[in-house]
Amino acid sequence: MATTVHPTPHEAHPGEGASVDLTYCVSHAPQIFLQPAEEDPAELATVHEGYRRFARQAKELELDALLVVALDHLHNHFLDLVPMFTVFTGTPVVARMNAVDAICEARPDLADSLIDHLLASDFDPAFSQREVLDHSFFVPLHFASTELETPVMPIVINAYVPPQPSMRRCYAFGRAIAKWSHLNDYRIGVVATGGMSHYPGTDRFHHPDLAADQEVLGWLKAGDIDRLINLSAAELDRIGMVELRTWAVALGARGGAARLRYNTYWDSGHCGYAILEF
Amino acid sequence: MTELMYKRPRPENYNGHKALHDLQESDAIFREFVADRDTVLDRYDLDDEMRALIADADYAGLVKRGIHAVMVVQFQRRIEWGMSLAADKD
Repeated sequence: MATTVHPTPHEAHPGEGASVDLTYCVSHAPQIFLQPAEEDPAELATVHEGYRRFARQAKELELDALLVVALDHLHNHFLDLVPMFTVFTGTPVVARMNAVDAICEARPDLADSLIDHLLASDFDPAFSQREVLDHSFFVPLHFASTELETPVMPIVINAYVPPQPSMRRCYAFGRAIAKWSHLNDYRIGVVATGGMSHYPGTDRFHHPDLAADQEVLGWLKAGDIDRLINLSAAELDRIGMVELRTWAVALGARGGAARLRYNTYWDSGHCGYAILEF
Repeated sequence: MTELMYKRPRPENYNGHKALHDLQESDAIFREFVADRDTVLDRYDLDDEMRALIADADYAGLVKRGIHAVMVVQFQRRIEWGMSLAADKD
């Protein structure tokens, strides 16, 4: 049994500065949806339950919106134009994989408000009013949708196509999100999707860096966020964690002394599947 | 310096990326490719090496040539698993 759970009661966020009301970092591998025979159904069910967990909490906390921070695997953001940060401002939210859709309520009014705030905060995000989001959004939302009643605000980070934004820049982007929610008295959750170590399309596909997974989990349990956000682009690439840029956004939105208080983790053989709550 | 797994795409590989992107995003183009690879690849200004790598579905060769590894694995899943990860613009 490779799953670890450390439940702790909800409490006021420690640390200084603005913070969103709910923060998760979760994996999104296609296999979590496809459920191939070689992957343990019980472990996959734990991941699926983790997705429903954030959906339930979003409802209990009566959030105005759940920001889902994920990426694009060169579907919408092809080489014709590769934005670093994209805020989806359309409605509804549609994510798709293998011709199956996850459709969620959007909050284009809040998305527009966020863009205005970001532009006033030295960020220059792109926006999209029509984008069918890829499996990095679909996989969590597909399973969460059975219990998700909170509107969704998608944000797309350029994780895979160099040059990408730095971890520190992604963290600062998250801090700007927290400040926006605080200034407007919005109740906001952030769910980042990606990771942990994996190497799709490369000869290391069956050899994720499991030691790096444990090292990163150790940092997060200790609240040592600086270790994570100081990883360079080359280091992220080497340990198979280019997608953790989305996590940096979520941890920035969480702010203060972000500390892991719930987690599941399972080595699927090609990727460490994680559900982390801060 | 170690070479990156996910490299900055080189402009000379744009047409190869474009062909693979169209195959990835369009069910109609992919069906046409399965039936007649040459007709589809004729539409792209590919050099001989790139054309052969795509026609032969030489995944390792495409990565070695500099095609983004994520596009290659999605091409592989399309060919071998019939799986579409596309945002599907058809």
